[in-house]
Amino acid sequence: MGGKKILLVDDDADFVEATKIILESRSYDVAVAHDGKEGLRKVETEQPNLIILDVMMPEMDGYEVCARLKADTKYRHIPILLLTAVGEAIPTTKYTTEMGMKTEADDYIPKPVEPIELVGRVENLFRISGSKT
Amino acid sequence: MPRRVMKEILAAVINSLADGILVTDEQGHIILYNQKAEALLGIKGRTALGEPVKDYIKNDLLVRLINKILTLDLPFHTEEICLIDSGDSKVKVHVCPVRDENALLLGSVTLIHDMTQLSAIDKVKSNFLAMVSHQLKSPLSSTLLQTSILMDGMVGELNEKQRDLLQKIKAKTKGMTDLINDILDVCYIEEGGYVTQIESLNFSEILQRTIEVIQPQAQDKGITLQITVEDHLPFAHGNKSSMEAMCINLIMNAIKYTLSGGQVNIELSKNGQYLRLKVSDTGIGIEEKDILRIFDKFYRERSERTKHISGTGLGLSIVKGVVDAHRGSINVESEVGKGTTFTVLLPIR
Repeated sequence: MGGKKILLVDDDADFVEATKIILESRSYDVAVAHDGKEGLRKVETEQPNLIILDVMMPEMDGYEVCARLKADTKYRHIPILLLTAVGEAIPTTKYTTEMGMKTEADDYIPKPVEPIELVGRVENLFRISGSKT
Repeated sequence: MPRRVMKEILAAVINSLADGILVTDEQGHIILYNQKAEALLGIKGRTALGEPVKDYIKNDLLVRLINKILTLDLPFHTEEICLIDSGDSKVKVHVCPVRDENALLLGSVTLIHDMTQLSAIDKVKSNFLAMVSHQLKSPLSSTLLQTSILMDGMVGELNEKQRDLLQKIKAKTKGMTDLINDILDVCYIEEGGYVTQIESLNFSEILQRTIEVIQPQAQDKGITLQITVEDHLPFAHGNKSSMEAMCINLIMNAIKYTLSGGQVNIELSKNGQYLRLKVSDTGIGIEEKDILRIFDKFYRERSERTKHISGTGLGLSIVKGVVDAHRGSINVESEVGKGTTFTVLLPIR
């Protein structure tokens, strides 16, 4: 069924560090990237089984990274979890993550996110993609 | 001025208008339109004259609005304003009845305003708010994660005092995130951002979704939500996001100020030309002297009985902002120790 390697892409170093600690405590392998371009490079070098992508990043944002990966037959099977700090149209910030729905991400969570919630979604995505192979 | 010259002048004026104009007779046949209307609505050439409007306008919503103005005998200065998609552009349409000096209905006149440029400005504004939101909320998300990690003992055991202080940090940080969300809501409403996103709303659906989101929190507190929605409610015109914000804030407020085991009743019904939303609780009630102030921004009752209740003090000002923006009204009735009822009336357009 494959390994459990997660690629975490976010320009907020503190968020990356904290999320890495949380995911590693659940026995996942975690690779990190700090912007979209680095993220795409690392998908090739690390071959992750799941990608967590922040939306707002410099150089290339999460939507674009997601779109590129989903358009690539080599990588489109990798589940993508989009982290959105903000909805496209305020005041949906509190209640929905509308923009996420328009991309092809497999799931999306608004920030701030509780560790339990994050881990739950990751496990869910692994379960779903596991049952597909 | 000789009549022939006047007629030519009028024709030139109408064709030079920055907005589109479309006139029908009382039976809905097109009798006049200009080049702008042609461009914005896709009316095809001169053959459109004399034909029923529904054969030439592709947009159902507009056709329905025109029919509504023509068939219902509405008083003189009624207008229907709506935002519609017309091919690639977004247009705002103003539909009015045309009456002669004896108030006899002659037909309808529709003004069509191209909103595409305004939408661009709107995008810039909402991008700014989006950036502000991101800049403020991202660091807070990291902080919350870091405190969670510490509190869960993932990087070492904590003593009780450390845990206690971290709990307080977490609560404050979460409070700031809520505050940012509320401030953004207020900004959005005050900037009139809603104006360009008006649509026909199924209020009962909006209410249902709100309840789904809130149900778990009500359950956690042991509060029963009782919902009554009248059948066949008419659609209202308004902005969906802000209506959702209004519902969530009203109901969350009722839950917050009601003690465990209490009840919150939510009723949605038609009341004449209005939709009526009534939210009543069996909570702690509001004192007479405070009732006038509860809609003020950041106002919160600060007393023994409310000090443990968290909140930004913006919830009701958001509710009032949305109600005002939709030209509705809100009424409060309350008795200390017994409960409070908020009644919102929204005009059906």
